[in-house]
Amino acid sequence: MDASIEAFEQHKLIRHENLLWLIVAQGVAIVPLLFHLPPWMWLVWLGAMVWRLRIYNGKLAFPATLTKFMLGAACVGGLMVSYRGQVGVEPMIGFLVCAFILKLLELRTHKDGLLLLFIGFIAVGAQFLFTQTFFMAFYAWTSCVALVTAWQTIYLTRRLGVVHKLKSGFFMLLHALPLMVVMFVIMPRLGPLWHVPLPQGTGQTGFSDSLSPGDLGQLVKSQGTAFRVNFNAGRAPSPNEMYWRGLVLDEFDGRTWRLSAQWDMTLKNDPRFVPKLTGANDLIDYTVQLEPHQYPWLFALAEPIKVTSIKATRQNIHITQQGLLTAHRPVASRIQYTVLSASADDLSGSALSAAEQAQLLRLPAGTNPQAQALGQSWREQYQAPQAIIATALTWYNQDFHYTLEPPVLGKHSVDEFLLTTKRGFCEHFASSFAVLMRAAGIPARVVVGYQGGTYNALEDYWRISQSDAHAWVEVWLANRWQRVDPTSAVAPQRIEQGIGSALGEQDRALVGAGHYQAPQWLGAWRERMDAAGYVWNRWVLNYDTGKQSELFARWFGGTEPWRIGAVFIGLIAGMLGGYTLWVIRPHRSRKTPLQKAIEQFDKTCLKLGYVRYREESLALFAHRLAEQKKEYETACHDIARISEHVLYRQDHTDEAALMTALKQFPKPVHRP
Amino acid sequence: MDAPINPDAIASLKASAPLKPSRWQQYFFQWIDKRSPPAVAVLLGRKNLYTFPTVMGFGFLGLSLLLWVLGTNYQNNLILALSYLLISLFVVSILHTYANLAGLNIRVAGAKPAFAGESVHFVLEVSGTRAKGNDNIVARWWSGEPMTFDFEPPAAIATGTAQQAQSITVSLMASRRGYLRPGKLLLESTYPLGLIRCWTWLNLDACAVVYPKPLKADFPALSLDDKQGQHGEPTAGGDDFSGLKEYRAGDPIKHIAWKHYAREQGLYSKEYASAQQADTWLQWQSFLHLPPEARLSALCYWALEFDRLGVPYGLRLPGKQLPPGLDDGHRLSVLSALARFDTRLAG
Repeated sequence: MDASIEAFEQHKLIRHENLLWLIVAQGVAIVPLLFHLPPWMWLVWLGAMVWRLRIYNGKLAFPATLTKFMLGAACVGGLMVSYRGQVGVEPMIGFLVCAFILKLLELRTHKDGLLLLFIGFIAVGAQFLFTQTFFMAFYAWTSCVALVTAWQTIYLTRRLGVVHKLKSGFFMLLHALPLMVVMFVIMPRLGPLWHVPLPQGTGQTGFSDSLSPGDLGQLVKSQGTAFRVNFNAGRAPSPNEMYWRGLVLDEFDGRTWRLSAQWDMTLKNDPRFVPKLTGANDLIDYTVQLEPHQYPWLFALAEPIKVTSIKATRQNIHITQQGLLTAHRPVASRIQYTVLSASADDLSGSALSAAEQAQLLRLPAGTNPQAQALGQSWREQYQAPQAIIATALTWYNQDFHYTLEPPVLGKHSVDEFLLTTKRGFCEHFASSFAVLMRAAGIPARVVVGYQGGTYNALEDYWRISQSDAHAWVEVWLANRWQRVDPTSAVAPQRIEQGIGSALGEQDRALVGAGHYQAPQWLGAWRERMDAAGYVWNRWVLNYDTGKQSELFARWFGGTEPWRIGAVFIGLIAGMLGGYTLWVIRPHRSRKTPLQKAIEQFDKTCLKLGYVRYREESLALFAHRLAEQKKEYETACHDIARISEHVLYRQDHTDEAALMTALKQFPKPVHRP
Repeated sequence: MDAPINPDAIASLKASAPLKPSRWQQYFFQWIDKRSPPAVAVLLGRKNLYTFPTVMGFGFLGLSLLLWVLGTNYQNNLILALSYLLISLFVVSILHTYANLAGLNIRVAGAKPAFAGESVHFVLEVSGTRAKGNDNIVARWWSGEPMTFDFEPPAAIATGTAQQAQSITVSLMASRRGYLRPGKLLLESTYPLGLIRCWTWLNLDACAVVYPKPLKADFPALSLDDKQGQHGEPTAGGDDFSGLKEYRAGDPIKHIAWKHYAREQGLYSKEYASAQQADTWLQWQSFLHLPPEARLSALCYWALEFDRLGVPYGLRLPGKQLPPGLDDGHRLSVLSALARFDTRLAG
C-alpha cells in the first residue's frame, strides 16, 4: 500500500528540467529586488542556487530541518542587523526574498514548485513598490512569462524545445491580457484599507527647507525631472512668468535662510487667508505630476486658490497662508494634483500684523554689517521702496556676474558677495537682495522653487527639471507680495531661455552632465521617451476613480452602477465567447496538403456517385471503383499503388506523387 | 496423506468486499448514468466534461487577492494590474484545461484476459484533433490504479481513413473470476497550470474475462496403484506398473509420478510394463473436498500445469465437457469455461 502511494507520488516530484526552469524564473523575478536589499542577499541567492544545483547533480543532500531553520534564522538576523530592527517595506521584502530563496533548498514536489512560483508573483508585485516605470512594467511582464513557462513545465510530460515552451507560456499570458485590461479599466478603485509603511530607500531630491550659498548650484547639476505640468485650458503663461513656488524662507541667520518656526506650514483654514478674487480673467488651470522628492511641499504658480489632488486617496493637499501647497505627508510616490492659480494682480490682501512685519524685517545683529549699512543708507536716500528696488537691481546689473561656480564665501556671506566677489548664482542674488531690502525697511522673504521648463510638444506638457531650480525674492509692497527676481537683472537669459543659455561654456558642461551638448537625435529621443513616460504616468499609474468616471462618461455615456455592471458583464461575456472560439475549437486542426487532396478526391468521387466509407482505405476504395468504373481503371490503380507506397515505403516523393494523382483524378498519372 | 491445502490460499480466493463509492459520488454517478448510457466510444466535450478549481487553484485566487490588497493599500496601479492579470490567467486556464481534454475520442479496444488476483489490462484507443496535442491526462478505473498519458498531435495521415489513434492501457485489479466490468473510467487533467481540474467519468462498455486464480492442490485420485485413477486410464492388462525411476529428460511426460511431485518428493517417472496412451481428464468431481471456487482454481492450476507439461487434457464440468486437446486455443477454451462456470449449476 505504502509502496504504491510512493510510486504514485513519484510523478509529482520536480523533474530535472523543471528545476532549471524554476531557478531561471526565480532569478528573473528576484534580481530587481536585490538592488534594493542589503548586498549580502546576492550571496545568499548564489549560495542557495549552487547548493540546489549540487543536489541536482547528486553531490549534496537536501538540508535537514535544523539546517534550514538555522539558515532562516541567520537570514532574519542578518536583515535585522542590516535594517537596525526597523519595520518597513524594505525589511518585509527582505524577508519575502529570503523565504523565496530558501524555498529553493526544499524544492522537491510539484507543490513546492507551485509555492515557489506563487512567491515569485509576489516578488514581481513588490518590484512595483520601488519602481513603476514603463520599462519596469515590461520587465515584470517578462518575469511573468518566465514564471508561467516554468509553471507549465511542471505539468508538461512531453519533451518540448525551450522556444516552444516559452511561446506557450507567452501566449497563455497573452490570452489573459484582454481580460486584465477590462478589469483594470472597470473594476472600482478603493482607498487604502489600512495604513501601510512606505519604501524608504529613495533619497530626498530637490532642495531642502534651508538655503545656504551653493545649495542650488549643486542641485542644478542633477539632471532628474522635478515635475511635469500640463496646462488644462491650453493657456500656458510665457516661460519667463513660470515661477513655480515651493517654499518661502523668512528667517535669516547671516548665512542661511530658513522657515521661521511660527509661520511654518500653517494651513489656510482661516477665511482671513483666503484670497479674494477681484477679477477672474486671469485664472490658470494646470495639472502637476510631481516626482517623489520625500518632502511635504508641492509646487504651484502664484497665487493658488484651489487645489484638487487626483490621487486624493493618498495625500491631502492644502494651501498655506503663504500661498504654498503642502501635502500632509512627505511625497514618497508620484502624485498628481490640479491647481487653479490667479495672478497676483487679481487678489486683494490685508495689511501685515506688527509681529509679521517684525519677522519679515529681522536681520541678525552683527552679521553682514556693510550690507545692512548699505540698505539703511538707501532707505534714507530714496524713501520710496520702488526706487530702492530699482537702485539695487541696477547695481546688480552693472557690477555682478552670473556663474555656477562662485568663490566660496565666509561668515559674512552677503558682505563678501556684495562687496568683494560679485560672482554668484541665483541663491546669492536672492539672499543678498532680501538682506538689502530688509535693511532698507522693506519686508522681504526668499522663495525657492523652479523657474521655467521645457515644452514637450509630443504630449503638450512642460517638463521642469532639477536644473530649473531657482531662488528669488518677494517683497511686501502696496499690501501684497510682489515678486522680484534679482537674477533676471544679472542674467536675463536665465529667465528668458533657461539656464543653459545663461551660463558660460565651462559652467554649461557642469549642468546636467553635458545634457545641452547632446546631439539632436539624442535630444529628440529623450524628449520622446519623456513623453512616453508622461503618458504612462498619466494614464496607467494615475488611473483612478476620477479618470474612471471620465472614461465611462466618454465611452459608455454615464457612470451609473447598472451601466458599469452591464458594460462589465457584456465585455466579459463577449471576451469569453471569443476565447471559447479561439482557445478551445476542439474540432479544428490544420490539415496537411495530403489530407486536403484526399478530401478533394472524395468530393470528386461523390460527384461520380461513389462514397468512400469511413473505414475504407484509399487503396481498397480505388480497387472497388476500378471494378465498377472501367473508364477510370488506370487512374484508380495508380492511386491504389501509390497510396500503398506511401503507407509502406515512407518516402516523401511518394506523398507528392499521391497528391498529384489525387488532384488529377480521373486522369491517369504515370510516374516518371 | 494428501498435503493439506493452505487455508489462507482458499480464503484468498474469496473476493474482498468491493469498494463502494461514497454516497455523494453515488448520486453523481446516477446523474452521469442518466446523461450518458454506456458506449464503446465516447467523444469528450461540453456534455461530459466537468471543471472545478483545485486546492492550488483556490490558493492562487488567494494570492491574487493578496496582491489586490497590496495594490489597493499602496494605491499602486501596477500591483493592481498584476493581480488582475493573475485572475485573468486563472480564468484563461479554465479554458485551456478544458481544451486539453475536449475533442478527445476514447474507444474501447479490448482487454486481455487475466487470472483473478492479477491486473486486467484494458486497452483504450485515444484519438484527437487538437493540433497542439493533449498533455498529461490521468486515466483510471473507478477502483483502479491511475496511469498518465499524452496524446501526441496526429502526424500526416497518409491513408486518409480514420484519425491516427494511440493505444493506452488502463489496468484494474481483478479480484474474482468471471466477467470483469470495470465500471466508470475517470479521465482527468490539470494541465497546464494545475489550478483547474477538468475531469469526466465515462461509462465505457468494456468487459474482460477473468480466469480463476490457480490453486495448487493435489491431483486427488492419482495413486500409483489406484486403478480408478483419473490420470491415466490404462488399458486392461497393460497396467503392469513396474516401479519408479528418477525422471530424466526425454522420459514421457505422461509417466511422471505426479503424486510424488505434488508432495514435493521429487520428479519421478513411473515405469509400466506396457503403458498405453491415455487421456487425462480434469473433472469437477475430483476436487469435491474443496469449496466450489477453490475447486475451479484447482482445475485451473492443473489445466495450466498439463498445458505446460504437454499433456493433452479434457475438462468435465457439470453441464459442460471439453474433449482432450493440447494447444493455445484449447487452453483458452478450458480457462474460459472455468471462468464462466456458474457454480450454482453444480448444485
